[in-house]
Amino acid sequence: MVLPGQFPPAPRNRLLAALPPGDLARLWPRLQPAELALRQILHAPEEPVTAVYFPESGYVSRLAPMDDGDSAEIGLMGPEGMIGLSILLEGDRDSFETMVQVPGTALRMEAGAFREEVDRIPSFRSILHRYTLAHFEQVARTGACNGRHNIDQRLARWLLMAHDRVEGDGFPMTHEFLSMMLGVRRAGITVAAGTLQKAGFIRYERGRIEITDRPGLEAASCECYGIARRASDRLLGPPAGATRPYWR
Amino acid sequence: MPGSRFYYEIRDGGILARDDEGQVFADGKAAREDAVMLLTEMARSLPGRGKDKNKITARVRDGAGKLIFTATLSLDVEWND
Repeated sequence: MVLPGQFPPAPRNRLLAALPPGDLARLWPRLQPAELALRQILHAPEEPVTAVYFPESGYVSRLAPMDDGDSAEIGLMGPEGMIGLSILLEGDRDSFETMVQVPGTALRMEAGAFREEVDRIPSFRSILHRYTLAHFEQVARTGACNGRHNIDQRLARWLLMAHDRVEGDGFPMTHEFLSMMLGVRRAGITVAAGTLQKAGFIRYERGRIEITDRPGLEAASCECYGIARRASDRLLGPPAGATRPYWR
Repeated sequence: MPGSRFYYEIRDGGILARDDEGQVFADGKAAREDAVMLLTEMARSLPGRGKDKNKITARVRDGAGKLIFTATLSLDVEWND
């Protein structure tokens, strides 16, 4: 609870951190801390969205469900973004499932409060629109990439995107999960991950992946990582502190 | 229906990948379907190699190490000269 004259702490979410301090202070009383628990479903397909989330750590996977029970990942959202774009875009739901892939924490705002603040605060509206465009670039690029590029390239790209959204160089991940996310057979992930590991770009051990050579991994990815990343950096600015040197 | 654990051994040119963890499938037919899909997905890696003869092989064994089937994807170009 922020008292009058007291500024909130520097947010870990990049969108909130980019707001002018006065505007952030206006929003702060309507943001509540929330946990992002592993595999928690924040938004179910076709269900009305009741709250939006600004991740501080961890990230979520946006999944497109298929009739046969499988689903394909169409996007990632972490501390660079906001979960619940359908509310911003004046819908109240979408057809995707939003599931926590790496656990962490977020700031949560009720959908009604969010709509009011978007109407009231131009800087908030502006940065959310730019994030929406950056996210669209990521999702559309994923569509193009899935149609053309091979497992090695897609896996490298995906690992770079995950790396951008976690603190440090390691995060929990299994071949099973990667298989689900990329929509390919698990044995194909095993082969592709083996190739990346043999090249020294990653290390995979007991359900955990560590990025050991970032430039190497960038070279192994298709151009799709760089194109979406440049779009995001252009719209939102590169990450503060740039602990992720970006070679391309 | 509990299913059984099956183990892949994949050979692609000089690269060999062995899956020591294995995967559970309902039966050999389900494992076969997975292998066919796997090879179809891996075929995407063939363009750009510039080779006239390409072969990716998936051998699937049971928990006792017995070979159940071998699935092969071949893509050959025969020049007419």
